[in-house]
Amino acid sequence: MALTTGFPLLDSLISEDKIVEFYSLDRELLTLFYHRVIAVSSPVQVVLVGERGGLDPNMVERFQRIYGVTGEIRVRRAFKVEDVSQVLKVVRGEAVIVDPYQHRKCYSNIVKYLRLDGSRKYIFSFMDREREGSLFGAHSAGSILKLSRTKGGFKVEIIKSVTLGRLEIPFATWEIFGRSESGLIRWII
Amino acid sequence: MEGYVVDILPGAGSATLVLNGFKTVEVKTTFPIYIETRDPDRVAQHPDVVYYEGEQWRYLDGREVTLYRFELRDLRAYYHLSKRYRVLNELPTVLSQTLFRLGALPFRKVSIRRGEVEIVKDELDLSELSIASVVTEDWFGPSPTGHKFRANLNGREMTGDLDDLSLRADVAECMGRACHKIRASVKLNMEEKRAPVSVKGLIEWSYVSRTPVRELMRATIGKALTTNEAWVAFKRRVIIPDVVPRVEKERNLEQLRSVDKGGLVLFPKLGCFNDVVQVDFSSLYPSIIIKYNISAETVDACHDVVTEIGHDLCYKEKGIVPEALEWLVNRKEYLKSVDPERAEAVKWILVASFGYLGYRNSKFGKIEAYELVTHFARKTLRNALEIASERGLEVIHGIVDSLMVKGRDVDDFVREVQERTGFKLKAEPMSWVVLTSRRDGNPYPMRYFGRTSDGVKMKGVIRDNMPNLVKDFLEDLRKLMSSASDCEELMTLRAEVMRLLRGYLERVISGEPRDYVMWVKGIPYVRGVRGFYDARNGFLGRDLEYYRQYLSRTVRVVYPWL
Amino acid sequence: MGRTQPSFTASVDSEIEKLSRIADRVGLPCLRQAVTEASKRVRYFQNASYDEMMSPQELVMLALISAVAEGFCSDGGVRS
Repeated sequence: MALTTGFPLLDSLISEDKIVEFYSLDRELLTLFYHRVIAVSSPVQVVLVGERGGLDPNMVERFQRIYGVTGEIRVRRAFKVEDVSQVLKVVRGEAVIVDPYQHRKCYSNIVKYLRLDGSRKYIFSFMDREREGSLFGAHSAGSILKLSRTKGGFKVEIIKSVTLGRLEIPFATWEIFGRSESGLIRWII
Repeated sequence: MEGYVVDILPGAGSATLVLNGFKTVEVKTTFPIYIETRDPDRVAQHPDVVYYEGEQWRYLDGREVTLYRFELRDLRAYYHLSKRYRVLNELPTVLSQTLFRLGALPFRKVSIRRGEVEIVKDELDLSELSIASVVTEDWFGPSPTGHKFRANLNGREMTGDLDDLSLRADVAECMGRACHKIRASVKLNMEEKRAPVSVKGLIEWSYVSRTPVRELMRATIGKALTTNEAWVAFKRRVIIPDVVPRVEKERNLEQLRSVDKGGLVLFPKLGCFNDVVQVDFSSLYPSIIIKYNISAETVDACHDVVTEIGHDLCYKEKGIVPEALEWLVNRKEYLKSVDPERAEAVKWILVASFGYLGYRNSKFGKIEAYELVTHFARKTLRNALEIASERGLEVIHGIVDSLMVKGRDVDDFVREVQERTGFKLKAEPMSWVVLTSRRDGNPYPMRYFGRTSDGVKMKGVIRDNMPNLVKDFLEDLRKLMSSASDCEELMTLRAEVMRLLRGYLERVISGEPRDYVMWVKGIPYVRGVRGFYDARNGFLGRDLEYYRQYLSRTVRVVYPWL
Repeated sequence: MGRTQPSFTASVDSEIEKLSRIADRVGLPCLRQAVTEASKRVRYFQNASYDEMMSPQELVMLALISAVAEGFCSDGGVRS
């Protein structure tokens, strides 16, 4: 199964990019979002960077049930910064990478291994890319998307894209849980 | 000359061994540094390199490599070279390695004749050393700027004005100006101390890790713990690495769910229970590590035992961590009857060793090893619960490595659990135990108190950050409750508990300033009418209502029959 | 307490809170009481399931069913 956000519009906008980075200052929102992405992309490889936390298996399985997907999710964790590039070296093919730059170090090595085999990667970062924009492989990401909460839901802003200018797409809260887009199931299958 | 090695002071081409009784001896020595390099001659160009030798070492994964050991005239060269080259075997520390080579180890008795050192007594006998602890005090308690002192010299307590302080010791921990007023071969400044043990505990750590006590004081427990493991590696010529990048095994969600857990914790029944036995596994986690030979380099090295969680055990070679822990477990048992304070210090290292297996910067651990240990711990406790159920015992509480059971033939139960799990147990009868709930009504696994043969034992009740007044109250309440021999008698103490509480509520009004002090993150505070204030600025009054409510809340937690 | 996944107890509590919120919004008093009773019992269900593979949702549902099964309602609702 290929990497997908599960939102056909978003997917079509980033379809040309090898490395897509999603960031947000809203931890809860981004976490919910990437759990959904992992579920709808399954079977999929996931790399979790950091000492603690990062994945709620129950949440992923609930998303899988909602969308009728049953693929296996294979997880590897990189606890300290020295582990990150070693783990990325070993991961072949498409993958979801959670918070690879959190240590704010060794980014050139990390970026090198992210791009190593030329396959697609979705990166999720808990950082303010607009303030730390010039660092940490921003130049290597094909697209950078910002997620932020709005009154009725959330919005996705395309901050950087090879093909597009700045674009803003709103979503309602319940769209995360799949109550819209009847075409979604068709898309996944 | 003979004496206990208390410290080592490096010099140029020599080191001064400091012995007890302020004796010193200078011995000739160089200092070793291990560097991985393809060009040892280049390194040897440094003026302080006396000579070098190639040695065959291996990495933890078995890879053989030639390491060069350079002998340095001066320790400054060590730091200089560390910045330029890849230095390995930084633990045990260079001073520790130097002492080892000289034939002298910290806190062993040595004899030095014509520059030759020999250990004459390996066991640490503290009676031949003078050890002191000096704390300066202000009105609110210990303070580096206090004018009074409280000292303990070899078990003898002394107090007085700082100006009158005069004391001599081999090893002394001290605070503030007291450090200037005492004479000691090794002074340990308490303000810099990060280790959570007393001076005697530090000395024990120094003995166990063979590291000068000065080097341990500013470090966390990790240094003593890792050095103990490093010595095992050192003897095997296994390289002690700096940072070890690791790639863990890939898991699916099911596997992650089943291994990513801590210890088994049950939620206790609430209330008071008579005739309960607390059954504890002795050093369960270290015992598991030893029994199943769990270490970074042994897990999955071969497949002698295939476990349910996908990691395999290998018994071909004894693991570094199991070997390092085995002698500590034995030492702790031996010290219990010799010096409980030192036994406690060793217990600290044992407790931390498990956590270190899973720590990201651990040198000899890895996450798979950590997961194996928690898996076996949960399995062991589950087995014990099953056996309790088979024997018709009521399980009141269970938490990680300990159970509280009620029923008949508990001794047989203990025997059966030991036989079937292979781990040792200790049983402590309690005439009664009380398990209370949190404010939201939920049972609270970490808090209980019960009466043992040594009086009432309280767990999770007294917190460090409580006001002194409340701590004193809890202490008096504890003594009062010790008089009850069962739950029914405990409930009849109601009137006396009320009397005690009333006495303390009055003390809130007329107490000493020190009563109101509470320590939060190393700073003394008092709650005044306008909020909390730093006690170091002086006593500026107290908020009566706050302390009254604190007492009332506390008594309701501990004595729910009010 | 896991390193990566949230603690089981925290997940259970979060499920209970979610059910409480929804029960409040729906406004049926018996349901609300049943959820409250379930939250009191759920710890003991956690204990009993220590060696089974149960998700927080399954556990909370079981606790809720047990509350309903014992007719836990004093507001004139149907008692079994």
